[in-house]
Amino acid sequence: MPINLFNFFKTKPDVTLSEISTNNLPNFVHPLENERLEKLKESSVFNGVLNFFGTHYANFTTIAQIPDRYFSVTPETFPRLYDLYKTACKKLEMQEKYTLFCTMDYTRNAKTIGTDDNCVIVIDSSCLEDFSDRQILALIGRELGHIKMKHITYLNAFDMIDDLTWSMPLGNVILSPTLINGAKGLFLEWMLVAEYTADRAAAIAADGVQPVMQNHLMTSGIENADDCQDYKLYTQISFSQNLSNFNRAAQIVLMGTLKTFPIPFVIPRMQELEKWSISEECQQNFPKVYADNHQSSLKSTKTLIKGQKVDLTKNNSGLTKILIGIGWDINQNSSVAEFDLDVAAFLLKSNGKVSTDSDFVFYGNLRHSSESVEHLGDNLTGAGDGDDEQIKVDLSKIPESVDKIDFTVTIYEAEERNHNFGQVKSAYIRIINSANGEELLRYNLSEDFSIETAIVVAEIYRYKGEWKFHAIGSGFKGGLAAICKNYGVDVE
Amino acid sequence: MRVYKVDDFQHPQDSKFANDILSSKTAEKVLEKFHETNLEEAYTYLYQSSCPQLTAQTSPKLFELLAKACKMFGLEKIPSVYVTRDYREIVAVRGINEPFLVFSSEYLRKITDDETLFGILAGQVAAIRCNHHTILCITWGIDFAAGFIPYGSWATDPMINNWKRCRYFTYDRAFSLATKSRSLSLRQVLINVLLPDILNRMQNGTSQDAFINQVEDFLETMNNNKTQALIKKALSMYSYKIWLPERYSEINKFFDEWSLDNANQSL
Repeated sequence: MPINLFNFFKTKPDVTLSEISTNNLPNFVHPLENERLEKLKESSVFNGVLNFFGTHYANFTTIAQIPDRYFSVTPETFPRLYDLYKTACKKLEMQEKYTLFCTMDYTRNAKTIGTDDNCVIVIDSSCLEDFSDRQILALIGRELGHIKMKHITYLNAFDMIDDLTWSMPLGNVILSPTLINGAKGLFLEWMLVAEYTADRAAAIAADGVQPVMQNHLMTSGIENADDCQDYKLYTQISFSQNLSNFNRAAQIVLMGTLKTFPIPFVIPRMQELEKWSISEECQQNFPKVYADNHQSSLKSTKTLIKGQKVDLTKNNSGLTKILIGIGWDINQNSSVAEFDLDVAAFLLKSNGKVSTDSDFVFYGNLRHSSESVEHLGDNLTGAGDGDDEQIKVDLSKIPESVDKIDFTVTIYEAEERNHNFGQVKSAYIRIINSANGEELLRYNLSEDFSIETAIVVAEIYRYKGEWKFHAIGSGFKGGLAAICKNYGVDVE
Repeated sequence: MRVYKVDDFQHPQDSKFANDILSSKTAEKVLEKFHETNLEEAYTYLYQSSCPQLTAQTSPKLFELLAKACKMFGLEKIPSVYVTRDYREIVAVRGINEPFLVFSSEYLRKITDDETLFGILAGQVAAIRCNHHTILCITWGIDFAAGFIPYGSWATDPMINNWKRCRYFTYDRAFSLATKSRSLSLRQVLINVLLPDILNRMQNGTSQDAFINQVEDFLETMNNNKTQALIKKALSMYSYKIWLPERYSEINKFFDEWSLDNANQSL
């Protein structure tokens, strides 16, 4: 049938724009989705594209070739994958009526091809190699979410425009960029919130956000699942702009380049999912998703690097009592029995010096007069797992005159015994919330020390009415005496 | 640590073709359009929002080496680094006023030693110092606009491709200055085209170098066979792919000129 391009933009779509519904499942549709869809539906170009897609393209192009090109997923061919698909359908209260295919690809992604009423899910083989079961549940859940919310026709219709634009000779010229891209701007704005909704479906299918975040990161360039555990490390970006603020010309450029990204807008998507997963709405409607995120937040200790400064009390309201744990191991070639490391705390004024010698809390002065700092005793060998020495700090009792507290580790009788920090490994400091045992921060001293006999490990300090933590990790020669002198403590 | 100036590492051909592009009226117009339409912000946003950003917290070694490379090549601000999953093995500079680096995960996976990583980062820092990011944006803008004109790219491609090839000479020089290792500098030229096992057997830069004969044959043909040289020139007009033997030969020349072999410095 010849295609009349003039009619193509005038005719009404014969693909029904179905009402969004989540059936019996509580609503998880992103609040902006309906509004953006309405705007999109007002575009005559969009309707023309949809019409063309429904009548000329959808049923006899890509989708028709799938059975000849890809592996069919059945209970016999991929039993584990099929079981996961059934589980995801159950979680999203959907019938198991969609056909799954597997394709040999490296992208760690999945895609639903076709229209809302006639579609198949295609999963890349790399997902089966690299993803855990929960991650696969999230992956399928996301695609089922798109199907459930009737996104498939729209998503595929605009894929078609890209295909035609870039693969037809002079496609750029024929499919007039101004006209098409005008609608594509609206489409892009809708697509982003449609993805927000699908990500929620993914979290519902996987009973938590962690696998969804891992999928996003592993699809976007982070190679290993382990590196994605603390996904918050990648979502701290704050954007000065967002998509809808850009003018049409900028959006045309964005769309021209979008295809090169495995998951466009992955960071705002992760941020949006994170926001939803800790909301009251999620807690009420999807308690498993909420609980999983809450637990993983508790588990995810913030690991610091040398020189890093982080808020201690600002994001932990009510935090007053903390436990400082310091640990280390002795190198295999050194004698553990002879090695004695001592932890100390120096309560310092703004000039970096103590007020009196009693501001030096160590094995010989276990408790500060203010009762704000208490050393829990000397471990003479450093043997065994866990913290080797601990110091309790009550932030509410620290005298106003104290601006910061430095924590140090020194080697006892280092010179006499010919010991130094070159013989010590795996040293760390961590901060625990005494109220619930939650580990808040950890700093692993990765630097290889050699001749040093004392280390300033870290400090906590006042900043605008809050307490902050500073990972220092600086070595000293001269042991405890040198450090004491540095802080203004008289030693004999 | 010696701090290198742009003249120390920018290859004369890179400099010449870059000036040709920058002084063209088209470039001026493209840059104007970029500013008018907020394209830089849009472009940066695209990477910020679609690629995980690596930081000193997630990749301490990479940032330690990047800081060192910035110091060595006189770049004051340490650029942001993004990673993208791409089967192509790429590392590139992007942006205009706020340049940043983009690594493909595949490329990062292939770099297994700190010295090579340092050299590669040095190459990218040098690229920023030589304004490669701005020129890349201009050439991208020209390509993009030319795409809407039938056969539009025929007119612009030769000039752009010449520069795109020669910018690698600069990158290689920075790698060489940073690592002071001929074998590593030559090896990284082939890192994108050979499997690691084969690459390890190439023995680049030694008397057993398995690629050097090919390089010499290529250069000899280009010098002595005018027809072949003409074909190469014609092919070069519409391809930005670098001729590997030329890159290899330029590195060897650079090492000889600077006597870098004996200036080994460890990381």
